[in-house]
Amino acid sequence: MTPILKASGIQKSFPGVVALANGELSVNPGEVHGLVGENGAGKSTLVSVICGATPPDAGSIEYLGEPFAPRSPREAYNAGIRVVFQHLSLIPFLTVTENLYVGRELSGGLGFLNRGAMRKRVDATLQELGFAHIGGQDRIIHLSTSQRFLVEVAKAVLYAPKLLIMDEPTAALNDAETELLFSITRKLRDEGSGIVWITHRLEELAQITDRITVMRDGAWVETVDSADVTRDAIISSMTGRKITAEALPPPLKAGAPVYLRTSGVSSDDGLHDLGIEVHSGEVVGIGGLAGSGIEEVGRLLFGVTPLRAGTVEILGRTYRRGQLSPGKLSRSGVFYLPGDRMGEGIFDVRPVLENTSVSALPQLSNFGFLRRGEERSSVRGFIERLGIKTRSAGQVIDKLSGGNQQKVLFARGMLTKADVFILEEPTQGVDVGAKADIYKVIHELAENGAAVLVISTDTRELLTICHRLLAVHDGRVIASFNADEVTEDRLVSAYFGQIDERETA
Amino acid sequence: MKSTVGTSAAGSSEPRTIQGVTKAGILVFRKTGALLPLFLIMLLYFSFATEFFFTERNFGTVTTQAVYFTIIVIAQAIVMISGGFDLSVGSNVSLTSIITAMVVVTFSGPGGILLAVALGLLTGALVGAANGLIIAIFRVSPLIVTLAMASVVSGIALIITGGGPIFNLPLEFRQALYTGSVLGMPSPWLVALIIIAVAYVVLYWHRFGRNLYAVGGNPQSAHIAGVPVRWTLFLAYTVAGLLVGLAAVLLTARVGSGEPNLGGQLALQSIAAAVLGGISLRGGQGVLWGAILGAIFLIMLRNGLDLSGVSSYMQMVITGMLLVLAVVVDRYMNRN
Repeated sequence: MTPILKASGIQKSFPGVVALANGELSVNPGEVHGLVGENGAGKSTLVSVICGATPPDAGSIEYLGEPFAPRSPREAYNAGIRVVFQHLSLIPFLTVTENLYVGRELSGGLGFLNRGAMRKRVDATLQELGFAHIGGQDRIIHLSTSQRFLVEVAKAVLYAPKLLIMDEPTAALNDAETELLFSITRKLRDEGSGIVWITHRLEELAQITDRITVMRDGAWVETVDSADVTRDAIISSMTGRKITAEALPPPLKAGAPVYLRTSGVSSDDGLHDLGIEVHSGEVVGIGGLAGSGIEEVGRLLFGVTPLRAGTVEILGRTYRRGQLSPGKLSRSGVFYLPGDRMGEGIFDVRPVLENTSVSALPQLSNFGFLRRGEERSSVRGFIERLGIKTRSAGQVIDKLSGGNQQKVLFARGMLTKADVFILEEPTQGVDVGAKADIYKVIHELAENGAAVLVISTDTRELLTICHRLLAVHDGRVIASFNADEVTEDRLVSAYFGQIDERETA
Repeated sequence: MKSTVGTSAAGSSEPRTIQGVTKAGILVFRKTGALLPLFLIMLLYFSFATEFFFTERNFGTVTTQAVYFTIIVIAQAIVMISGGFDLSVGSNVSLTSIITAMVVVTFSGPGGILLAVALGLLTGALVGAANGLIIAIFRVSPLIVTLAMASVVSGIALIITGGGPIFNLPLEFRQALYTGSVLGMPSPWLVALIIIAVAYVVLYWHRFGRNLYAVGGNPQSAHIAGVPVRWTLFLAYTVAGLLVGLAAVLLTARVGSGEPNLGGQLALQSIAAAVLGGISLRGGQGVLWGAILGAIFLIMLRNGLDLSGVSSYMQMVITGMLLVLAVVVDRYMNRN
């Protein structure tokens, strides 16, 4: 039998990062193929290559037995490949029908739209799929998140796809909707389509997939029949062997005060009853899968998004709903490193100097007038101390590499002499060398008595640099570990919601 | 920079000087876009095309004209660095002129003049504060807010005067703020120099300036870095309004009447001058002296065109085209 898709030896590097070292994926007609791996395992990059959005550096793809090298998503689409992403691509103010046909509207000879035909086709499709609660004339903004996702599915299957790739398709769905999606998937499979099912929910693998491909660190690990494999075996091959920590955190001091404590903290977007305690000199990690809610923790604690309930105690002061704000916190010794470096961290058009000193200006001025000499010399000190590669302090930060930009942000926090550091994805988009430097800086901070909270989707990073780890699943801290007592497998199991009794947080 | 090893002294020094000059040229070009080449072309052209351009008397005329405009361009630059712009500067000039004239006509004597100046400045600042308040609190587009404000403020100016100018300003007012001089320097020149000095200190030696560049560079990053974004935006528009008010008071003394149409094309012209001077429309970029140079350029251009007998209608066409050119150059220079 000719596979629908056979990708082999796919490689892709981005500046400083190898995203995909060896991508392999083979999908047969009439098969649901699970694709699993940790965050950063290379799944998204592989999909992006297959659907024509990213040109690979090396490797080959065969599609329906023919060599295939799509140069654009459109080309892949026209060949019958559909991708349903987690992030929605619908246009909110248009109707379901308009969205399903956007960019490929049916029209008559003079370019006039054939609205009737489009409406009929969409209504028939929605009915066939069993989406009775969605109407073709509904506007997207009036639909719930799960309904919107189902519209994405409808868009993908409007004309029977040959290959359908679904990224975390059940993440936003309730049980009934998940069942519905299962039955739609099985029907497509029985009609001969190949389906790639990317998921973090391992229990789904047994329910829906026929074979499973596991990826780790940008490379193919194995492809197995779903019937022959246990969940634990999958987790093991996703995580591989635990690599021994190269950067040990400094020893904890007994009786160190608690600098950051939260109790009962909840957000409007799905974090529940968060309880965190970080002592002076301690590095605490919060980990979880993308979408588990961890990406919200930092913003919440720093007052960027509002607290719904609970209290946050920082350096002896207690804050409740409405009392946290970035300005207030940064003046009282807290530094937050946002996960989105370009969007929320740096000022790309401004020099390194200004990027570094921006938060410390109150300390560097008298009645608002800057002590520019002192500013310049302290910034230069940090450039040297952190090994920031820049031509000068006056260099526009945009010209620096990701790792050096990240170091500038660390310098920004250190210049304010903060005692609490909330670090979100501290090494995202950073090359290996800079990563080691940044780990060293984090440990220096702790050694000098700061409380450090690291929020990261990178399991190994957390295991390497933290004293203690909190695993978040579905918006809740479900387990807490001492970093030297936990294996990566156990941690990742907790991310997936699997815990032993004794680990309960 | 260390010199390359092995090159002979005679051979290396000259190319390096040229290299240095080229580098400096590139830097200036980066900071102020197409302004310097345009400046040179303009000076060359007018020195051949008109006899009167390079005379001491014309220099005085140009400088005096430039004083008012430079203050307004500095105001515009402050707002643009914060990531916005102010389309209401012209209307603000008109309203401030009316208020100042009314007060100075009503209350005579030095006290009256002081009161007129104070109320004029207050008017300008209030219009700016209204802009700033709406933009900072609701985070709505400065384009719409200041455009609407321009309509409101112009309307008020016309309602107050019924459309006509206010004449019979006391001679002392004109003497103090236009014909008068301090230590041999005409008073408007002195005021402009003080404003430039203060603007320099505030932009580069004060926290406010840094916050302004930060907010304009990336408001979200600024918020997370603890910069008071809303307060900074509010202050930027208020300070700009105050400066516009000051320019309007000086202009009123110069024309000798309160004019409900005194502002004219100032909004567009000031944006054109600022952009020509390298103040980016996307915020967070540009330097004070660039804006000042841009202002002087537009004034000299107008003066030269006047001397060459080009009609003011044609000058409108040229100003508009220059703005488009400046925006395109700005876009091109800051493209990655």
